[in-house]
Parts: sequence; structure tokens; C-alpha cells
Amino acid sequence: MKLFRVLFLLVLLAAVAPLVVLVLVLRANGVDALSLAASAGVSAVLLALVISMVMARRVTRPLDELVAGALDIARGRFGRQVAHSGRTELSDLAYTFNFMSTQLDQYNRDNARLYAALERGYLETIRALASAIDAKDPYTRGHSERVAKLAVEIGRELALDDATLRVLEFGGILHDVGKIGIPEQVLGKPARLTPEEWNLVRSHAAIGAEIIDGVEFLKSAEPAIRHHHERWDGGGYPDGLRGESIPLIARIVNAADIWDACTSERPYHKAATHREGLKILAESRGVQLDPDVHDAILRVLVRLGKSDGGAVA
Amino acid sequence: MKVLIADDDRLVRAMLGDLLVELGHTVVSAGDGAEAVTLCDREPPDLLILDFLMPRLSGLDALRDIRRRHAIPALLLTAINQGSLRGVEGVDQVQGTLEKPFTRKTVERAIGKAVPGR
Repeated sequence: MKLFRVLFLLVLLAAVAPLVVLVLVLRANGVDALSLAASAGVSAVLLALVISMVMARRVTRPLDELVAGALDIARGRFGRQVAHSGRTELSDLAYTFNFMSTQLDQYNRDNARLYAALERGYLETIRALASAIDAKDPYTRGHSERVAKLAVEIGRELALDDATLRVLEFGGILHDVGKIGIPEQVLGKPARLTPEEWNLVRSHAAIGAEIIDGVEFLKSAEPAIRHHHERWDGGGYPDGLRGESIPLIARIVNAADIWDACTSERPYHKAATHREGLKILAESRGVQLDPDVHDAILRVLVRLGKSDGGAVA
Repeated sequence: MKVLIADDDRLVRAMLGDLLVELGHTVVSAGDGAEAVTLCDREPPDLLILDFLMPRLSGLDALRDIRRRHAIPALLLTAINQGSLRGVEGVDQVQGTLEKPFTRKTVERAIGKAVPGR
């Protein structure tokens, strides 16, 4: 609209100014052409109005389109294209705009790909670390990986966002990383542990949290590692947290850990059947496990075909 | 009432904030769209005044996110012409626009339009 005003004034000036000069010159020569000039003036104004309106539209329409496109790109919608036609400078601008937008989209995709590759690298590294721990103890082979998978499934069941699911994956893989500081004889001891040995085993949660303390991208998983042995009733370790004061990711990893530990072979017990595992889970509900997390893991197990649902309640 | 301002320009936040306080409102402010979304979840305001172009999350994208959980009226704060805004996706979600530079009068009028009866 502003462009229209400027154009209108310019065209009007161009049309009316010579007319005024003409009238003045004629009058100096004794010819009075005022009425003729007035009608010419009116038509000049009308013509100016029409011409400037048409011209302004021709310019503002593609400009509006370009502004809308630029706004979209500013919002991160790279690749946005604008329509253009004809061979004016404006369509050149639109053409280059489209090219720029496509390039931005390309760079953005490249970045996303690089980022994903980097993250995959991280994940592979911590997987390697976790299998180093699992290898210390033949009974726990694959345990970390299974706990991570199950924890992510529980998180999904609880409708957690993608970022938290990622943290659950890291937390699940690394939850026992602190066992690296515990002698194999203690970890693999088939007999009852002495109180000193028990304390040693219990220290793995805090040790694990300390190990990853210096790693920025794992920071968010630290609560899962430190608190995966806390109990809903407050009787767990290392901090004796109770109920909701235990971080949710730790409550989830705890549930996944219990399920995997009791359904796989250990030095101190034989693998429980799924039915027995479900019974153990049910007994832990509201005592060791967050009731909501317990219900979520049940739904996950039903979905994975490890429970027929309702057999154990 | 409580108004949430989101603008990446500190000066704009300060000026608009002062103006709103003078008009008798409480003000919370955010430096970008993502911050506005978190702030909104923590303490939902009665009115949003969102800048269009902000880093991380634009005003309209922040609004779309907020509207999933809260039905709060919103004004779009922008230096861009009304005409150019037409057709931008999501612009129909706001109750009005507040053009920069704003004055006490335009702010009052825009708020009156967005929240009738206040």
C-alpha cells in the first residue's frame, strides 16, 4: 500500500506538471484554456490512479510472496520455494531466493546427518564400554543392552519425549558401569555375600555415576545410573530416596533391571520363568517399584508377548 | 492480568514490559520461543505477546506448541507489514498483531482487541 502511494504521487506529478506549465504558457499568450485543462487534469488523475495501482500490484505481489518465503526460512523451514514468472528483476530475485532456500535445506540436512553420525558414534562407544563390563561377569552378558531396550519401551509406554527416551537408552546401557570397580570374585560369587562384600556391590551405583560425571553428553543419564537401586518405599541405595523423589528415569531402569535380572541365569539363582518374573514384579509394585512404572512394564511385556496379561495380578 | 512477552531483543522486552506494568499488568518475559513455551507451562499467563522472528523457535511455532496445552489469547509482535503477513502459515492463530514500533495507544488497542472486556 505504501508503494502504491509513492507511485501514485509520481505518476500524478508526471501527468499534471506539464499540463500546469502548458496552461500557464497559454495564459501568458492570452489564451484561456482552463476548462480544457481541467478535464485533461481529471483524466490525468484517473489515469495515474489506474497506472499506479496496476504497477504497484505487479511489484507488491511478488514482494509479499518473497517476504512470506523469507519468514518461513527464518522459522527454519528451509527449502521453501516462491512462485515466479516473467523476466523482471523481481523474478530474478525469486529465482535466486529459491536456489538459496534449496541450498540452505541441503546444508541443514548435511548437518543433521553429521549430527546423527556423531551420536551413533557416541552410542557405539558406550555400548563397547558396557560390553566390557558385561564381559567381566559371564552371567550378565547382554544384560545392559536388554535393560536399555526394555527401559526405552517402558518410557515409550509412559509417552515420554524422544530426548528422554535417548537418556533412558544411555542410562540402561550404562546402569551397571560402576561394576567395573568391583572385583570379579565378588560379582561372580555363587555363595552368600558377607556384609563387606555387599557394601562393595552396592557401591557400584555411586561409582558408576562418578565415572560418567565428567562426560557432558551422558550427564542427563547420571540420575538413572546413581539411583537405579533406590526403592519406592525408601529402602534402597545409595541415597535411600523414596517415591517420586527418585528420578523417573531411575525408576524405569530399576524396573527393567529387575525383570531382566530375575528372568536370566545368575550365580545366585536360576533364571525365573516369565510367569515367576511377573509374580516378582507384582510383589514389588508400590514396595520397590513405582506403581505406574510397574503397570507400564506389564503393558510392555504383554505387547512383547512375554505375558498373557492378567495371568498374574 | 499476567502477560508473557517473548522477544529476542532485550530493549523491546524492557520497553514493552514497562509499558504493560504502567497499564497495570504483571509481566513475565522470555528471550526466545522455546523459553516462552517452557515458561508458559510453568506459569500460564492470560495473554501472550510473541515476536515473530526469534532464534530457536519463531513466535508462531511457539504459539502452536503452547496451544496444544493452553488456550491463551496471543498477539503477534512484528515490524512486518500486515499485507506481507497474510498467507503466512499459523498467522490465523493470533488474536491480533502489534506493529513495531509500538506506542502506549497501539498496545492498549491491541490488548483490548485480543482480550475483550479487560
